[in-house]
Amino acid sequence: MSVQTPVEPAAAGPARVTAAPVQKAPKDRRAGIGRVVAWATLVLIMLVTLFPFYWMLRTALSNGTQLATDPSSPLPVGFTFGAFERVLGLSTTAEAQAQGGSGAAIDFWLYLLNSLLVATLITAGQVFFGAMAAYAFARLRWPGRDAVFFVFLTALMVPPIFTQLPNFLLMRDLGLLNTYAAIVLPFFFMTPFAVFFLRQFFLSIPREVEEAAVLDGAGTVRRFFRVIAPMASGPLITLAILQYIQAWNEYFWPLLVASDRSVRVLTVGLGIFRSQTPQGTPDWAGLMAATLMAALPIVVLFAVFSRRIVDSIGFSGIK
Amino acid sequence: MGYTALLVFAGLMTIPEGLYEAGRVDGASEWRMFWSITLPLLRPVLALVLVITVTGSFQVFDTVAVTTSGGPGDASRVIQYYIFDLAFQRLEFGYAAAVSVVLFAILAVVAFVQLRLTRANESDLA
Repeated sequence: MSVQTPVEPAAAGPARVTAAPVQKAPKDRRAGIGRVVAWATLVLIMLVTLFPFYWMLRTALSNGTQLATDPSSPLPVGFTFGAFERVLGLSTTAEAQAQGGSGAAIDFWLYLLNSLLVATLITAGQVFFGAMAAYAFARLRWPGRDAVFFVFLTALMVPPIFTQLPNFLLMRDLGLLNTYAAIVLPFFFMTPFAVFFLRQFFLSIPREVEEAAVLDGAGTVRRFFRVIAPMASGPLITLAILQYIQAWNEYFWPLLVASDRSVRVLTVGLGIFRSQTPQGTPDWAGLMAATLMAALPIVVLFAVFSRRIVDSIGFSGIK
Repeated sequence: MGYTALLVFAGLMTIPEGLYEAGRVDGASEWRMFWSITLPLLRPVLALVLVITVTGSFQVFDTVAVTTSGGPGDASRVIQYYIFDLAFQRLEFGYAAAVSVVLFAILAVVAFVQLRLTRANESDLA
């Protein structure tokens, strides 16, 4: 069996390129009733999935004061961009209140920057440390490895909410309240999920590749960075996307430790925006506009990076 | 569902295309290739999905708390809601903590059995 280093994926490339049309041809000929049913089902599921987002958009484009007059209208009620303007602080207080807003704005760009910073730090830390731990659990040999891994896994069985109070006390005693560090630290090193996820993928990497690297005199650290990490780029990107979304949507923890304006993240900002209405009824149009804008970076990120997962197909490096 | 789909998708991407080519050359049907190539090689990832979703399902709390509060009667009460009810409504903290520990032990055993049965510590690819 010939072994090649994964640094040269080009060698495996041409074989796959020629294989693709061969695989497609018979499938296309079977374009019968089954295919139609499959597509119809997929379209239906997609419509059901996307409908709430359409409803958010429809509400965001509505005029807040008229919204209640026609709550079931499928189109925006009194079409206006006012909600977006008042969230960004572009409209005056009087204009905002005329459309059902509270006159309060979200310091959108500051919160966006905070969210980006926090989510990026958490993702980078988790993927980096999680990958190293996963490598130790998957490939290094040491006594009691699988037992330790199992004990580590049992942390999955503790609901996350249980750990928040002790973590809060820890952050308070460290004097880190209202700092970026407080938001990032509990998630920075690793989570059982990240380690479990990556370990399962590292297990599937052919041993031969690593043995070849050993013969070439590569040490553990070098094998990890030069062999394992590039070969697992698909799973690493997948994990990064999942963790980024989770970090982005994290609400309770940042609310607990960092509600100060300067370090407030978007989710917390949205919660405060909602509670700033004077007469009980939230400014739904404004809230939906803000939520849509907060979700947009994630959608863009997903659109860009899900492509990368597909591009890393079958990167086994072995013939 | 989207979450699990993404995990399985990432797993599917690690299966070398060459194996399917070999299967096709040998005249295997799509169904046969799914059973003999896809499923066995996806095993480590399926084990992950199994453990994550089962432990996750035992931790359902917010949906029940928001929608039915365990009612009507006890019809939709889940274990986490029971623990919450014991601790913060009936103020039996000791009992609630004991139930939590037992739940933890049960989940650990279930996870251990799942990992064993799926042979999650090895891959047929390596």
